[in-house]
Amino acid sequence: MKLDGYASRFIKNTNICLVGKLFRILHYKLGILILIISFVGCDLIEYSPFQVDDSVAGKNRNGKAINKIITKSSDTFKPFKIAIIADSHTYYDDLCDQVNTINKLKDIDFVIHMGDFTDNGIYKEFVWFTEIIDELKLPILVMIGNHEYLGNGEVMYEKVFGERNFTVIYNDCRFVFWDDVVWERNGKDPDFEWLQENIEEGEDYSYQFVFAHIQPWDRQFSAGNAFFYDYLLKTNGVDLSVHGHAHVFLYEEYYEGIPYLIIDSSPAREITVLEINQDSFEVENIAL
Amino acid sequence: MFKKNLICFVVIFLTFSVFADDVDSFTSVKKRIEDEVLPDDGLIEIEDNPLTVNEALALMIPHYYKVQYAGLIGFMSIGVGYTVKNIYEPVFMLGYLDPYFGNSDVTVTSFAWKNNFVLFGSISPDYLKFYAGTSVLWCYTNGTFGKLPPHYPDDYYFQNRVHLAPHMGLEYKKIFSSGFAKAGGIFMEIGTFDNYIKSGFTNDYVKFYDIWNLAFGLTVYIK
Repeated sequence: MKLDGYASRFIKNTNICLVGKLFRILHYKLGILILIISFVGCDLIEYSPFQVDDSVAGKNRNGKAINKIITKSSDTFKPFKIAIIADSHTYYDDLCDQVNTINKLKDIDFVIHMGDFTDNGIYKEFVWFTEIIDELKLPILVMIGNHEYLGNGEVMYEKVFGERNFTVIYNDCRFVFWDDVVWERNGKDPDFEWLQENIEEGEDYSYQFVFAHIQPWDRQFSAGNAFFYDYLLKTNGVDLSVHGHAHVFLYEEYYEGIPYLIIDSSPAREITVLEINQDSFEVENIAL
Repeated sequence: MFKKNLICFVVIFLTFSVFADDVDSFTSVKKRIEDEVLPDDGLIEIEDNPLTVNEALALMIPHYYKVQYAGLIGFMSIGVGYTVKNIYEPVFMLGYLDPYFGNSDVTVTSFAWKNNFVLFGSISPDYLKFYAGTSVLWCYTNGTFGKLPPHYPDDYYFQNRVHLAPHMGLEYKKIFSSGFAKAGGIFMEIGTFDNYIKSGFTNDYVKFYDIWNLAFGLTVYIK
């Protein structure tokens, strides 16, 4: 009965008159509300910067891109070009310029991002990045980088882009995408077993390329892991190892035998184009 | 563009706060709050006499309770708040987000120390206040750390657990003549986040309106 008393008084004190009074007061302050609302776009409700939500950024983007890529693939080798970018982090203006430049390039078949497209792996960084790459006219495959492991970026990556390790076969060339982040996975070794299984299958293709965010001579790799990585590539017919992470451009046989290519970050304002021909492949940097 | 928008917003905001009609000056607001709204327990004067244990404990009794939806501190959050000299309102909120409570694949537990400063308000017959401030957020989830784990080199990453989240809000407060609560309020806040502001300042791509989010909530002022 006491509760009923409280409830009736509460209802009495907060009935429709409250709404009327609120409106009477607010109409003087309508300017404030208009001011606030005018500065606020859509996507207003955000539970946490570390939330995982694929409703805006999209789902399984790499899977959808692979479907588009393989529809253009032929069973036998045909020369083709791919554009590669890396480490865009929150350099969104530079990334926009890279996207615009790629859209103007001719004869590019698809695009690869080598990872580190966020700074902190937070939700909004995924949203902004996917908004920008949606402007690309070509399919793009996006790798996971060490920065995507911060916060809940790993879970968000798997929701938005898909598996962290995957392969694509295009024009009789095998592309192996391998997650080799160590420190951000609490020192856990990369999945060498998966890498070995997948590059063993690639020896019969015209070319086999391995893409991994971190170069094996980085501090994240132990000397043993670096040696083993290079050994696996040499003994399984890999033609090129491509990386990001270092924020420099490098193209050389670091360990002698296999050429290593490191893609520079977005602030370098260039795009690396890999042209794959019957007898050889060439690397070219195109300035924005 | 972002910087221009931000400067315009601050100028308009300050101009409005100074020249808005039907808005009492802070002094008169304070006086009227003390006379009409908070006759008994607005302030606890601390004089030369040392506080007794009971008096010290009384200082810790919250002045009001809050429930908030969204606003970067979880799907829902609850908290307590205080009013200090009628201008500073520290609020301590605990928020939660998980697959069943906010439809997120991950669990995020957040603690927010909201520092609200009342900018202006009017009293009669009820109370509408406009406040702004900055929250300090502690976010506990996968991959956040206050101190860099030992396997990293020094300064490899900056800590990512504690963040600043500026906000401003509008609260309508209804005084109850009777009942278990002295007053109730509904509020709406717009807020942003330190990383978003940084991205806005360093990129034209991030527009001024991209960085904001909304929160709604209820306040119960206890006697």
